[in-house]
Amino acid sequence: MSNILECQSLVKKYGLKTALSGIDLKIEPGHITGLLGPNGSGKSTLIKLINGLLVPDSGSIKINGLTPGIETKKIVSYLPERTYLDNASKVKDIIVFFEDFYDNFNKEKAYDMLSHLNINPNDRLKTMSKGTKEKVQLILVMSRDAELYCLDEPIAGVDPAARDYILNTIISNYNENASIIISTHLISDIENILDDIVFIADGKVKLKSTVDDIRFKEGKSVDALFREVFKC
Amino acid sequence: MLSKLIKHEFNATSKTLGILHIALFITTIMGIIAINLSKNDNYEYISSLTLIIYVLILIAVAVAVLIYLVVRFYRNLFTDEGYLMNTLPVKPSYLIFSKLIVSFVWSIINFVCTIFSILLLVLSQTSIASFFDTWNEITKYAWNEIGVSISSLLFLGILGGLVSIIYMFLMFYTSIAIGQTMRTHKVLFSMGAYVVLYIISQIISTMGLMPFGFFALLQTDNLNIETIFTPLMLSSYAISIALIVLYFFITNYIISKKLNLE
Repeated sequence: MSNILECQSLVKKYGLKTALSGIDLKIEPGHITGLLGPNGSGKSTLIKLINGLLVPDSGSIKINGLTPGIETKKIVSYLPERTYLDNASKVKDIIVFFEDFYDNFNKEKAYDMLSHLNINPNDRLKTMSKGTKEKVQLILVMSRDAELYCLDEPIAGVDPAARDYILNTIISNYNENASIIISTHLISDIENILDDIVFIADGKVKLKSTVDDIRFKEGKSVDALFREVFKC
Repeated sequence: MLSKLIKHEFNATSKTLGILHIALFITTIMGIIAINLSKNDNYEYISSLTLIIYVLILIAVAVAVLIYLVVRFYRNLFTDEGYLMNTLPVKPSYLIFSKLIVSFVWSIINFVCTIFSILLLVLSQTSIASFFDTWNEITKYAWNEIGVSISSLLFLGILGGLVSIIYMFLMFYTSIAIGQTMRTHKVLFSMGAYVVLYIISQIISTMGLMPFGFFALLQTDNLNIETIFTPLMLSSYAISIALIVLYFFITNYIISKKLNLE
């Protein structure tokens, strides 16, 4: 079975600044991977490359063996760190939008999750708090039956109670062949749901390991290891 | 997928632009009422004042429609909303086509509404018969004095109008696409890119139409509007269409390869 994500000597520069300098990374299907690293380490750049929002300067990136494009966009469900929804629209209009463009979007699942979090589908986005908007966005992204979920800072803006529900939603709403990549600073919050971790610093992969290995071989939590590796 | 993009683009734009055109309609009615009122009394200045305000509102609505559509292109594709639009499983060219088609249709709607409004105002002051009398006189004048039939003039005008609408929007799109590749001051750079594109396109069309200038100079004795005017117009349209194609490819290339979302 081919890897869901495969990067080979991936390089991305913004002008003179190098964001990614030779990333080699393989992610197998069915894993939840935490993409961890300090601010400006290149996490978001990597996620943008996966979603075809950026084109690499050199090296290659393959999703399910394919270069990012229309076919990969069908199977990748992406949650950016921005609120990307039109403020003037209602939640139910956006659900129609997702249904129209994504064949794998499950409308019932979306309505179900909305009612669980007490979000009225008839409300307009602009009447909602920032946290509620993030919840709506996460619900939309997780309601797709995708092969790869890319979640960029999915829990940064929501309260701890909703955080638990959302993490639960994430692990209970994807099939076991799908993969998840989560980028975040809030390591201790998501540590329990991760299978693998990738530490990124200065545009390079610093460490790739399973969470079990870190716990049993190093005898540390991921959070503690992160603080050690990225000590300022 | 293109039809779905167009559908959602219409849904997103219809509210604001619909309200603008309802405002246009209300303006027309109010203009007619004001002119009729001013006829009865000694307030003749009201009618000319109303006319000035009316014309200003017509222009303001047209400009507002244009600005709204151009800003929407920028906001929807190159700001936060771009994270959604550019990760949809559709070709980047479809994104441009959908915006262009919807902008084109709205421009036509605006034009038709404006003409309809003017006609309403004119017909409220004259009878239909005298309106057609005037129309016939204009037709006769065009034929006798300028030497063109009004129908070929109309055809050239409408064709030119349609080409210009597409040309205008694509030039805005290209400027915006170029401007967004900058790290900061994207809007400012877009405006700068527009000025540069404008100058370049003016140089290209002047050079392209130069042969007609020489042709006209050589034939000053029997300068005929039919032999110069129509080919001149058609050539300038051809140059515009060539630039439209060029702008489209530039915009499409930038959206596909040089996207720079914040």
